[in-house]
Amino acid sequence: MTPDVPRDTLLRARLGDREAFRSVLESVQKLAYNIAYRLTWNTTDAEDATQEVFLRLFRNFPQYDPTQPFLPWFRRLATNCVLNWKEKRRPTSELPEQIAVHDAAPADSSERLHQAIRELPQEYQACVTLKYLEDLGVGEIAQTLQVPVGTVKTWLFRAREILVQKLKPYVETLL
Amino acid sequence: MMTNCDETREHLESCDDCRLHVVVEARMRTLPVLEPPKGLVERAMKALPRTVPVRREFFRLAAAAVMLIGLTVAAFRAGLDQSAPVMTMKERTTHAFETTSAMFNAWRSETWKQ
Repeated sequence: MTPDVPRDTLLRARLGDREAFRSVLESVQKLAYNIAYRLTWNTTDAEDATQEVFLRLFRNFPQYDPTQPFLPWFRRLATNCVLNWKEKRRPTSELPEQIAVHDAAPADSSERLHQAIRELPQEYQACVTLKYLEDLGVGEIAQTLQVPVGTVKTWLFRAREILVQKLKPYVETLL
Repeated sequence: MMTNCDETREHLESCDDCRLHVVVEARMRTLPVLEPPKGLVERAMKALPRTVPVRREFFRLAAAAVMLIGLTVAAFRAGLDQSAPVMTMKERTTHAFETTSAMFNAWRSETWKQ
């Protein structure tokens, strides 16, 4: 999942080279899309949010310090961008069909798990996504979300507790 | 002799809570990683603005520097020009602003031409 972006490509993209920027997008698209998907749980929303991430990357590229690793910076930008995108969209996103989908009884154990994650508070979802998608440690998650390490540990602990409580009635189907 | 692994397994078989924790942890680690839709990058490239992103701060600083230089030059000229009729403070300020505006407009039109 972790993409490898050559340093000279990053430097050229930072200076406005569109072909280099395209290469950067090719390298990070899977990461960006999966972060977006795990924070929206909807492929259409994930695609829209990913486009927003790419636009934000284009605008903010001059702020990237090339002496620092690119991926943690990009991960922070992508996560914050998707969370902001969700926040802005909240009043219109609660469409009747989406409520119906969310409220419908999950068909299988995977859908049950997805629904349980979807119902977590936003900051817990971000923690869970970074931990299980990117296999990041609490230090890296804290750096990405710009919160103290202790806060990340608390959020992860509470997120797991909530998930376990919600999935308790279905333990046999999860096995 | 029982190893730690055997003890853990034995405990998990008898403890529903711990088993559920392990199961949830395992399921979280195996959530599918999706392939992005085809053409995602192409669509993003088309939606990008045409201009090269430049920090806004640069333009703000440049504009402030031009204003400052303009005001300094205008004030210096007004002070050196002994032959000019004596001006009130209001006239001097107006004169300085006019000179600065003219310089700034000239600089801006040069920048746009580039």
